[in-house]
This record gives sequence, structure tokens and C-alpha cells, in this order.
Amino acid sequence: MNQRERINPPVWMEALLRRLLPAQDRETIAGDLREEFHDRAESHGAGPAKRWYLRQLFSFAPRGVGVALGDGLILPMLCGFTGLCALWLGAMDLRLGHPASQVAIAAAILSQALVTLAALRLRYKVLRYLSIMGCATMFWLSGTALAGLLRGNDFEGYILLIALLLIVQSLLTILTVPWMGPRTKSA
Amino acid sequence: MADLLGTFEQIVLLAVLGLEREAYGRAVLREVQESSPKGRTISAGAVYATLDRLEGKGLLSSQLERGTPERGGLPRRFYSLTAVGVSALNDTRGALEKAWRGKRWPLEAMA
Repeated sequence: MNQRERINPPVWMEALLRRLLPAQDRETIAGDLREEFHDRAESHGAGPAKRWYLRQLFSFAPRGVGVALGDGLILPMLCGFTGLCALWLGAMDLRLGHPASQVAIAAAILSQALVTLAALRLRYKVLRYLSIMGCATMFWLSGTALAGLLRGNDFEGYILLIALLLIVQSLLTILTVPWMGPRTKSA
Repeated sequence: MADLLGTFEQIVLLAVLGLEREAYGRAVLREVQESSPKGRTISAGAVYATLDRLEGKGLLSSQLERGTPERGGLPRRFYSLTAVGVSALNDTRGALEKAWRGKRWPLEAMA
């Protein structure tokens, strides 16, 4: 069978596959699966080959969730917002002479935001580990803040907002950062 | 000694080792499929995720090469074992052999 007679995988399947893959793997994996598709279409027919391709698409779905979140702007925007909130909280704590522990909390939130932004951008292993480890601190801080709000008489809306955003940020970090590949691959 | 490798990691690394200079994604996928128990289908997603993870750990390195016409010119990524990868395989094999020493194989079900 020559090149012109070859049946390629359906365009929508290849397009979906590319959406599920990180940028550095899009061409190579799509090419590998196309090659395998040609062989299967030739030996078993187009139908079974398409079903095989579809099954492979599903197998990339878990990774695709991480890629979609990593490629998107949700996590960077969240980090930017919580980072700005932490700056504001820290400045207010200093101005109002609050205990050093509260300034430390603001510093921890700011650090986590910066480390996660750097991990998303630079993809260095050490930054990715730090970002993932920092999520535990953010969960603890958010949980403590929410528990305090539930117990206390004063309802502070901005604390509730920041605590909830930190939980979402940490969940997205855990879903995204471990799945990111290294920054560069030897070409 | 580094962390011991999981079974699937060993299978993928050994596939890369066996394929020598031909260890690109699809060839590794086929090799892994062939070395798996009969009837068990190995998904491409699992193989590529493992390749990516092993490369991230420094056990594999990769190199891009230009694609051939049958794959529409799309590039191929060829994998090779690093010294760390070879050492990890040796350590894992050594640890397993040590653990199996003195045991009869195949094991018999305990009454």
C-alpha cells in the first residue's frame, strides 16, 4: 500500500489526541500512533484500527486533565491572586502591629504562589517538589482558617475567600504539577 | 542504592535496552505488549507516561529524529538508557534475586 492509499486516523481523533498531550510530545506520539494505525488498518481493517485508536485516546485522558490545567490560565491566575492577597495581608499585619505569626502566614502564602508560578514556568524538579510539598501547608492553613471562622463570632469574608481559593489552588497544583514533564528534552 | 524499580518500569526499561538504536515510542509500545502476559492489552498512555517518568528520573534520555513519510513527517523520539538507568536495573535485579534465593519456583499454594 503506498502513501496515497493509506488510511489515516480520523482528523478529530488526532486533534483530540494532540489536545491531551503536552506540547513536547504532540508530534512524536501522534506520529507513533499514526504508524501503528496504518499497520492495524492494513491487517485488521479500518474499523478495528479506529476502535484501537479510540481506546488509546482514553488512555491519555488522565494525563490530559493535567495538561489542560497546566496549559490553561486558571492555576497561574489563582497563584497571582493569592500572592497579591498575601502581600496585602502581610502589609496590613505589619501596619497594624499584628503578631509575627500572622506575617509568617502571609509570607507562606506568597511563597507558595511564587514557587508554583515558577514551577509552572520553569518546570525544574526542585520547584515542582517544593510546590507540591507546599500544598500540605496551604491545606493546613485553609483548614485552620475555616475552622476558626466556624467557631468564631466574627465572620470575615475575605479570610473565607482566601482560604477557599487556597484549597482550589492546592488541588489544581496536585492535579497539574506532578504530571508536568521536565522543562526541556534533548533534541 | 537508588529506589527499586516497579515491574512495569523494568519492562519498559528492558524494552528500550533490547531495541537498542530502534527504541522509539511505537517500537517500545510493541515490545512491551509482546512481553506482557497474553491477552493483556497495554495502553499507549501507560507506556508513554512511564517513559516520561523514567526520563524525568534520569533513567532514560531521548533524542528527536526527523519523521519518515509513512508517519506524515512527524518526528520520532528515540530513547536510550542512561548509566543511572542501567544501575537501577542492576540494583532491582540483584535485590529480587537475593529475595528469591532459597525459594523453589514456581511457588506452590499453601494448604
